[in-house]
Amino acid sequence: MVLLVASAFAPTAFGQAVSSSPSVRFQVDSLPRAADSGCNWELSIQVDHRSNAIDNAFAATMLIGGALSPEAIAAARDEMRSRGTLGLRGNIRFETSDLAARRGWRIESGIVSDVRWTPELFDLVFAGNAPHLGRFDVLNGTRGRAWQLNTIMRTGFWKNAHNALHWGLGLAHRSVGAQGDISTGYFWVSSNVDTLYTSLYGRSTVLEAQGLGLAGQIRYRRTDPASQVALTLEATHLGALFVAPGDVRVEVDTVLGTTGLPLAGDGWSIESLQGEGFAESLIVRDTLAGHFESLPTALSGGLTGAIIPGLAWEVRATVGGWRPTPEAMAGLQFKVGRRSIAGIRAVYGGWGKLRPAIWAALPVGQHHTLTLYAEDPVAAFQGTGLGRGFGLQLAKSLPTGADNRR
Amino acid sequence: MKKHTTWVTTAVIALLAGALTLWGCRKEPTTWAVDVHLPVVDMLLDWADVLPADAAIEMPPGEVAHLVWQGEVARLDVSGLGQIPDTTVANDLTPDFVGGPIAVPPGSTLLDEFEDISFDVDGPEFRRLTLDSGLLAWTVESTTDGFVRLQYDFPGVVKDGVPVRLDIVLPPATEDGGLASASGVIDIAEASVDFTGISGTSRNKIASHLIIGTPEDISDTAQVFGDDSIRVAMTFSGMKVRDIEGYFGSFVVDVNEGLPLFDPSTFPSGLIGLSPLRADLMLVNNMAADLRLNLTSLSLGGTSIDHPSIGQDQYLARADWSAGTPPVADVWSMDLLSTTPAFFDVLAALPDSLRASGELEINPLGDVSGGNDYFHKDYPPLLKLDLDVPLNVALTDLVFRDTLRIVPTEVPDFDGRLHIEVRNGFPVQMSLAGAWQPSGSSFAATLEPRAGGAGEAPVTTISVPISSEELAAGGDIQFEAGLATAGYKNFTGHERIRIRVRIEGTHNVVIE
Repeated sequence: MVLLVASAFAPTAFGQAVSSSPSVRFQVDSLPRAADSGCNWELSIQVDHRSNAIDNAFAATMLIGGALSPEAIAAARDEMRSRGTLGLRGNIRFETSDLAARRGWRIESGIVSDVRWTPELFDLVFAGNAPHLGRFDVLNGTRGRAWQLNTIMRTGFWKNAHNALHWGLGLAHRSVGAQGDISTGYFWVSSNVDTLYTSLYGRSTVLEAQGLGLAGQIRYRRTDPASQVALTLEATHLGALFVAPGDVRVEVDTVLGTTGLPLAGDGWSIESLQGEGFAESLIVRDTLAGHFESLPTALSGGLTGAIIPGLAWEVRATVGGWRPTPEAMAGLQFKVGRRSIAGIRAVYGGWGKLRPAIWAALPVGQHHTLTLYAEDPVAAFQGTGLGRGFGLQLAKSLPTGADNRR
Repeated sequence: MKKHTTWVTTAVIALLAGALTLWGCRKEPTTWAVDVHLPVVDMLLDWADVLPADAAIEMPPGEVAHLVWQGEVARLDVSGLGQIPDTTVANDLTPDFVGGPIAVPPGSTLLDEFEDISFDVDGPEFRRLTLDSGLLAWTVESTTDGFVRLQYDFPGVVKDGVPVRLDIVLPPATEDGGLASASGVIDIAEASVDFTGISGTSRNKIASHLIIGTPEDISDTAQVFGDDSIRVAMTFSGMKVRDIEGYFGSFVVDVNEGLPLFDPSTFPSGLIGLSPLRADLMLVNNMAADLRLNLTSLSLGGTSIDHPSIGQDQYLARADWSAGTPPVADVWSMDLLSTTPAFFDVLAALPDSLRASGELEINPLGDVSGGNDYFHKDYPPLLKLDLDVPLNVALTDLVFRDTLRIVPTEVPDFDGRLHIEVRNGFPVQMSLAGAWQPSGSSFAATLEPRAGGAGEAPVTTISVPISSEELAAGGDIQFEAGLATAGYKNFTGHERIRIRVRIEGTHNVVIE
């Protein structure tokens, strides 16, 4: 594993420990170790969707088609607490590093998305308003956004016996995206169905204008030789984009309180509702000027430490990156055979609930390492699972010296 | 090494295949059902919905409310007045020499002539008018071997503040004997037309000024032969006046006005008892011309109504337009409470129409104003009705039928009911029955009358099943209402019916 393993997916901590913490006993002598010279590379692919309410069967029905049963809708509703969340991410990344020059390149392309909604909105859409007559449904805070984001960075690193610093600086490009939100929204129908009140202020934009800006990342790692605990602090997707003018934002700002509409007349009436252009009359279209938008910056901090030879622990907390809630992870790493490492983790937060994850780093020949990662691997193949996450990483690294083998 | 490479490749392919399976293809629509309960309609029906817009309900304290209405029931047709016949004026101009050619240099004038265009109006002598519509079509032909300029001015025809003018340049005629020609149409709608001609004292004439020559800005010298000609034709057509001044002449217009009352298909049976305090049928003369009216018959449905003024000449003086609009009009009225049989006794049986026949003469005394008659099309002679009816009404088995057209509406996969809640604030018992065709759904209900005083209006709920198929088919709801009061009932003018409709059902959402 090379020094420049990034934090795109879970085995990152493992990779960092290998490359920069020779004092962590089981790792020192069991895995390929970064050399001080030569050129290494790393290719990783990650796909992941995660929700705290929408299970795999529900998502598949929405995407592929079919009938959503009342039971499936009720189950999704039961999973939600204060809000529903869904994240969909996928990216491919390629990095190189010249260890002698301590320079490298990092190219990454992917999508990032975040959707969150209130349970009341879910009920209105999937169950109708009949189950909550007389109840005020709050739609505030519903939002969705998705970007296709590309970055290219020049990377560099520095290290000494106990510290390592890795940074990158380059260009970011957003090719397309979409975003929308309901800033304020309410819906209420009285219990005897004689009064309706609804208000909505929402915006929606299809992001077709190109965005171009600066992107950076930085990672610092310190190892305490006494306790054999390594601390890692990392920030990714630092920076902002300048978005060219031209995107069209659609805005709706309307309030309707009624005991029923008149059959005919100007404004709100049954006749005007059925007429052409009524919906359009509620919409304001606004062409956006050029503006800056921040990248989906993520901050994380982690600790890794040895327990006994061949067994280590790890914890990590991550915020940002459009996560609706902070994401926490705790896990164990253990050596398998002479040159492989595997790990199990418990992950909580982000877009989903508590779920297990497993990973394994396997040597491929003398010069390569293949790392596989799966989040909630059993549930991923079940309809009741709340998401799927897989990662694959192939890295070229120099062979481990015989003196480092146990 | 090869074994490991194969394993990695397999893993990558499996991962991509999994993603494609999940997100790659959509096989069928996604559907789910939602239960919808919404208020849809809330409307009030009161006196304003059944009375003319300009009617008023007056409520003297301590008395029964009165319906007071003075409104227009018919406009007498005097469209013959101010009809301007289509008129064509043609000029065929030839040189007054033989042989040729004679060279005519640029900027020369061949003809400069003022001329009145006369309109063949039999009887009236118009001085001025404003057109609502009208066209001036023109055609020019020339055999001259050279450019010809034609300028035709109509200083008395002013549109948008500018006199109408035709100004064209004709190219040389072709050498093989062909004509140089041009034609076009000028819209003279909204134009003000002076009908006093060149002298300013004539009648039914429009002044014109025709100039023919060679254009100054074209250096080509025209070669004119003695047998050359220039033909100009102008046609005024489709002229409809907005207002007109002058002497209209004396003529008679037949009066045969009918006012629809109770359509038998809508009101097939029943009686309405009314006791009006005032009911006058009036003729209002808004024209600045004298009128003579002679009504020869008045009938309600098939029943002739007699009145002392029937068959008698009634003279109405000209309206005074000196203060502008509206004019101060002379009015003649007929008291409908003095008829035989009693007008409202006949009206109680729901006649289908009120019909008046006779004749109307314009300027029966000749030109008494010295040519100062005036007519504006928005102010013709009117038949008006002036009513004051106490709302003490008896309805006896009055049946009202109507058809409500349902526009086909696409609400896919909906199955539910419309709940129609009716609060009857009238002291009238109503029975409602309806059928929706072609769906076949039907409903029936009885709306109890509101008791006197401040009691709550009784509520009746009608439930009508609806489905996507019925809504998509549209069709008609044919309904019949039976209305009855227990004898004569006093109405306050505040009575109203509140109709609220809510929809309840299941909508199957389909996302393709």
